[in-house]
Amino acid sequence: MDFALDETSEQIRDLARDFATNELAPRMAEIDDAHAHPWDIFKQLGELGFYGIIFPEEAGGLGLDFLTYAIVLEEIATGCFNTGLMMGVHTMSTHATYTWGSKELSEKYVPQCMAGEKLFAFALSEPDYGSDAAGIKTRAVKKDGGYVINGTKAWITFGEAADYFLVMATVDPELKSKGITAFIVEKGWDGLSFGEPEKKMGGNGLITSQVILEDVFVPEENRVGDEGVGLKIALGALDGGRIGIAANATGVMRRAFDESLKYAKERIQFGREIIRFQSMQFKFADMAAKIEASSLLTKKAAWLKGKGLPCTKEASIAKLISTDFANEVCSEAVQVMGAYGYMQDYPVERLLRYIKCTQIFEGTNEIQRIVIAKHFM
Amino acid sequence: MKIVCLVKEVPDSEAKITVENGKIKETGVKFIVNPYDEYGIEEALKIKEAGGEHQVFILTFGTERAKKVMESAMALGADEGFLVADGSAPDCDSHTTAKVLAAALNKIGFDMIFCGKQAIDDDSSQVGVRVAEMLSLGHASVVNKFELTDGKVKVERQIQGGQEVIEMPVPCVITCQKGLNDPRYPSLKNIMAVKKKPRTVFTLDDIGLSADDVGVNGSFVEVTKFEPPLEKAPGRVIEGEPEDTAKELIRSLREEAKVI
Repeated sequence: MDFALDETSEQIRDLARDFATNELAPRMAEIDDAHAHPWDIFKQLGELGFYGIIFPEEAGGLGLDFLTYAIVLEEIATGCFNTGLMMGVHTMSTHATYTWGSKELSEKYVPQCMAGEKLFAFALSEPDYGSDAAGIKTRAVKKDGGYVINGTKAWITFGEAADYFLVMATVDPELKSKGITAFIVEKGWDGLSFGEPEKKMGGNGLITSQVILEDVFVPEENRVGDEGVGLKIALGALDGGRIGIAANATGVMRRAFDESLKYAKERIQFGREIIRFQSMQFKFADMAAKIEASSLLTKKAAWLKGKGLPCTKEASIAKLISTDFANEVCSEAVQVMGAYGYMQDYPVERLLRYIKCTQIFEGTNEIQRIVIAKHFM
Repeated sequence: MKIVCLVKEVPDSEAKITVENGKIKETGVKFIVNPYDEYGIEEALKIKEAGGEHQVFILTFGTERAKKVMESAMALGADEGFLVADGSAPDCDSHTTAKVLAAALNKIGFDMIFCGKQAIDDDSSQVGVRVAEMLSLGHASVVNKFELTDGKVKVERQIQGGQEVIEMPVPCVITCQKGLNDPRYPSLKNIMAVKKKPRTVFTLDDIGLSADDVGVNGSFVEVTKFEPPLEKAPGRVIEGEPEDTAKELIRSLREEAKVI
């Protein structure tokens, strides 16, 4: 197992780091408080080519491995967690379309998403079916060279900001998981509407809302893969998605560490910088260990995925450990900074509010444990 | 037009510089494209993008290690890269560095030359102007506004109390100041493309120079040693009533600091 980057990937990592430091980090609070999609950043990342990392060169991508992608995601999240999450979800939907969709479908949708001209959301969860994804009720009925889709999708990242939606619907509820099928639905199509943007605890730089489908006609060519492979597509995308969340959480931890360490080196109590107290040093030692462990688990899962090897268990382990650790690290960062840490004028409280969701989305951490346990049952 | 951008490998401004035995310790230090050179590259790329038959070249003088920095500079969108690689580079003064660059420029050809106003490591601010003089070209240094129309260059530079406007024909040398433009980030595609673009490494022999022309032998200036700046002693707060503190301040300025 080799996590060393070649010279090119190293340069791309450095670019991501520079971009995160110079462009994203100073705007983290502004983006998070906006309650709107950060379009300028979304487009800029597209122009620089960040969405094409894992796509082969013949598809207009960079043909790099998943490890490089995960490392870039970590760097971006260090600057701005909302931006990191945006990059992960958008890439995941676009890549699923490229992997499973017909050549025509791929040629129609993938290039514009890769270029950052169009935003692509992933719509699986429903109000009553989250973890139990095989039970989704959104229904696709075959009609006149296409399908008519009805149902409600919940907690959809990007919400009404998205241009395209990768919607999972069942063609036959009797078939259970084998009836689930993936479709690309475009914003503006008749019958597609959105709930009010959700009021969330954190992560407010991206919109989350319901996506409501009422008799939405989807032409047959917009079906992604065959009927019945939808859950496979969704779960495949989630393997990558989980590694992405692990990388995102690792990046957020690094930010929490850096911000609180800077404070601990400046804050003077009892006549000395608080970092000189061993109680503080122990906190930072624990944080550093958690960051290192998370980063390595994420890289291992990403390396396996990049090699085309099975990585479901490793992706779940990376997601579980990184996001649990990230919650502990962000909480400690607030603790180090005391009352200042708790104030919205300082950056760490928003990290803590955001990081909770990483234990919930892309499969709750309870689901991750089930996925892991399946490997030895 | 062949637009050549001169680029120097410098330590990252974030790098922690340590000195050992009078020399700067380079292990663990990250090297980057001199930030002022990036303004030159950006200006060259803008000329190219505005249309016309233009090529943007990167020219570096350094040790073999500088190849990486030449490639980073190319990743901004340049067409070709050239490195004059020689172990003597760190011992070359501004005069010798300019001599090497001028020889390389004669070899590759040029219609326009951009360069940073200074390198952020030794801050000598001389190389661009020396190159121009050696090639008998017009030059303007510390430029913050640039325009090219019909083979004529019009530049502006800040001088005391105002802006100086200079016009001159190409080819000429411009050294670039912050504010000239907003250097771009390299795109991921351009980073990937560098390995497919022509990159030439010259030896001194290739550009018609020999070991006698460079390094300590060819330089007028010899750096004998580096020393880290002295650590500043912490300040002292004089407390008490104004009458006493004023007296104490005068006393310490006179007797301890010996400045009055």
